Amino acid sequence: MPIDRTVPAVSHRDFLENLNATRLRLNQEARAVSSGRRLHDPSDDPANIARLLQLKDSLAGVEQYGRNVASGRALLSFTDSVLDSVVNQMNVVIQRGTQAATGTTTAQARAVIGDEITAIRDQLLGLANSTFQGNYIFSGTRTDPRPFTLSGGGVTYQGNLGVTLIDVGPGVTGPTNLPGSQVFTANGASLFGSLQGLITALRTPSAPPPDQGTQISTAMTQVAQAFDQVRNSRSTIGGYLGSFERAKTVLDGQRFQLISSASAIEDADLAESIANMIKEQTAENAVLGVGARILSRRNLFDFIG
Amino acid sequence: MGGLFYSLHIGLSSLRAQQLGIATAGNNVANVNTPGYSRQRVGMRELTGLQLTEGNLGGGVRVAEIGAARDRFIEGRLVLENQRLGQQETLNQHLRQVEAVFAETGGAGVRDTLSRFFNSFSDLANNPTNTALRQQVLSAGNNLANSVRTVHSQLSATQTQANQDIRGTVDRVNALTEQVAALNVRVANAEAIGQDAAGFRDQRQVLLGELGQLVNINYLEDEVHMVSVHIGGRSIVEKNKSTALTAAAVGGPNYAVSLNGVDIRSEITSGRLNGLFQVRDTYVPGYLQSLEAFASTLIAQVNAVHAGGTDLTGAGGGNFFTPTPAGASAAQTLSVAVTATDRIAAAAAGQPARSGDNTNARALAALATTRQAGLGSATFSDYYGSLVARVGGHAREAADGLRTQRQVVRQVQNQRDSVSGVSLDEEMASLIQFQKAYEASARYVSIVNSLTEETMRLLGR
Repeated sequence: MPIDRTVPAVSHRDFLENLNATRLRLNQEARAVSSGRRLHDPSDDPANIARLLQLKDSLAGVEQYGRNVASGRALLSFTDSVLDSVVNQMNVVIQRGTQAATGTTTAQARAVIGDEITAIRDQLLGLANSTFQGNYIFSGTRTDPRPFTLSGGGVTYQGNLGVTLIDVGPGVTGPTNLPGSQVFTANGASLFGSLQGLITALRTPSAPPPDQGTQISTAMTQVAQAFDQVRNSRSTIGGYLGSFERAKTVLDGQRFQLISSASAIEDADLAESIANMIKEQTAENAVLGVGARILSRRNLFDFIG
Repeated sequence: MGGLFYSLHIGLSSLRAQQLGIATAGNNVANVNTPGYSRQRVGMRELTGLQLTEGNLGGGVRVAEIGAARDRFIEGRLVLENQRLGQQETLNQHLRQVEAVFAETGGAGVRDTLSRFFNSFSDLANNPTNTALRQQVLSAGNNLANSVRTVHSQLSATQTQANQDIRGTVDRVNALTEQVAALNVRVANAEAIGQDAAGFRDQRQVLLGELGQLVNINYLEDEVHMVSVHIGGRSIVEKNKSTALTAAAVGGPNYAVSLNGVDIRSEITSGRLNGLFQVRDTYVPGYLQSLEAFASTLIAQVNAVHAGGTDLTGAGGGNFFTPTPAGASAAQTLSVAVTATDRIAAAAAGQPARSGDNTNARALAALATTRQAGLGSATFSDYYGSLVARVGGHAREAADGLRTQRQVVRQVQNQRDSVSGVSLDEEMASLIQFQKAYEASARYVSIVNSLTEETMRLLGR
């Protein structure tokens, strides 16, 4: 129905409605600009909210995997540095043992070397019992007692064969430890067993034939095998560390992807919002200007007095 | 031929009529801002006078009626659109409130505590015997339980609020129908003695408008100018009698609305009352149902996996969440059963005490990405996310609907005002018109008066 009479009530109502609508839009844009976000309540964009929540969920997952990777890397790096110390000590053992095996070394000098190697053995025992954040790193999944103890000249392993896996991605796991028995007391390549043999050979000058030098050389072969085992273990740990590094790269990429996808849904386009805000401000001024004219419009009463 | 006194009479009738015209214009100006006021017009008629041999001489003027300018069709439409407005306003108000409960984008809702909960197991898997991490699992579990319970209690509060509002709305409907019935009598009485009961009609129309916002009504004016009001097929106002609706709670806290003992829910199809029913009986129960499925599946799945592990004491895992008591709501009572950090079963079954094994902690963390048969093959998080999206969609629909309906009502109000509203220009023009006529009549009376005096003077001579 066309409106063919103008009455103040209609002008007032239309003016207030227009002003209100303009201010609502202005508020919306101002909120977007000041918060940097376009989405505040689920009803702001119901079509995309589920997807946004999914992205945020994936992001939380990726960040958790990132924490797992960091935790695994810390443990593996520490293990690697412990094995590095072991290798350094073993180099000393090899050097001293080789020196002791030569025929020119006296029995007394050999005994001194034997004491030295005993001290190194004790240090190695300490390294094998290393803890990281309160946990033994070479005890499998056992948390006590300490994995390696000296008893009756021999070293026994008290840990288990447990390997701890950490989730580094959906369905992707990485091991974070080697059981100590595989590193230090492996069958046929036991570090502590071979060192004990070497120490015994160094301290037994009147050994039955073959002579002490040969005994030492034989013991040194065992030590070398055990040394190989330690070096193999170290490269295994290095391999584990490498897979964690790769996982980190993948996760960093995913994280970036997810953040930009979520941002596309959630974040305000600042340039656009600011342009809209200026537009709405202009509109608000116009509405107010027109309103002031309409509301103060003069009527017949003003002219006849 | 009529005498001088007859002429004086004509002048007087005009003075009265013009004065009424001025008063009517004044009344219109006075009510320029009164909601629902319909501008009034004086209807003047010529008074029949004397039949003379020369012809008929008029007897002056009388005001036959003071009528209001109104369009029944537009007024009816306004009531109808107000019903829809009432419903949309109610839906919008309550669904906004519900939406605030699900404001997940800020980062403190259920979905957020849920992901922290599962992640706490993943953190624990990195160092399964660490007490601080175990403590974190317990607090993450408690936070999750708290946030689920909070959502439940807020949804229930909205439902209770809607229920209380139903009762309040029914009271208001009854008060309004009583007033409509009372005004029926006044309108009919005024009309019976030939008056247009404009003021009473306007009041009645305003009440009908308000009534329409509350509940869908039809009304019909009968031959004696009384309106009968119906909700669907049921009468609530008939002539001078109104029938009160009753809101009574039957077998539970929910009020049922009935008329003469008959439940009239099916007749209520619009207005605030219908909006309240929809919030109480459709929207919120739907959300609660999803929340319940979420909570009960969470309890069942977490407990099942937790029970499959070994805790630090070497015992098998017990319930992580307290099983829901029979007949209770899982979402309402969700709580963590484990209190000692040692009793979190992070290790696989068969592991000894104080094992550093993390198998079960990982299995618990993996629940975050496991699709749940009980939740339509969605993960916990996706299921809750779709609930949030549903709530957001409903809130959006309600807000959009309200905006549209406000526009419609505004248009109809404008149409009504273009017929019935007061224009100051028109009133000023009327005032001048009546004022000039009054002045002329007064002049006429004074002329007749001086003629009379002249006659008297002649007689007295």
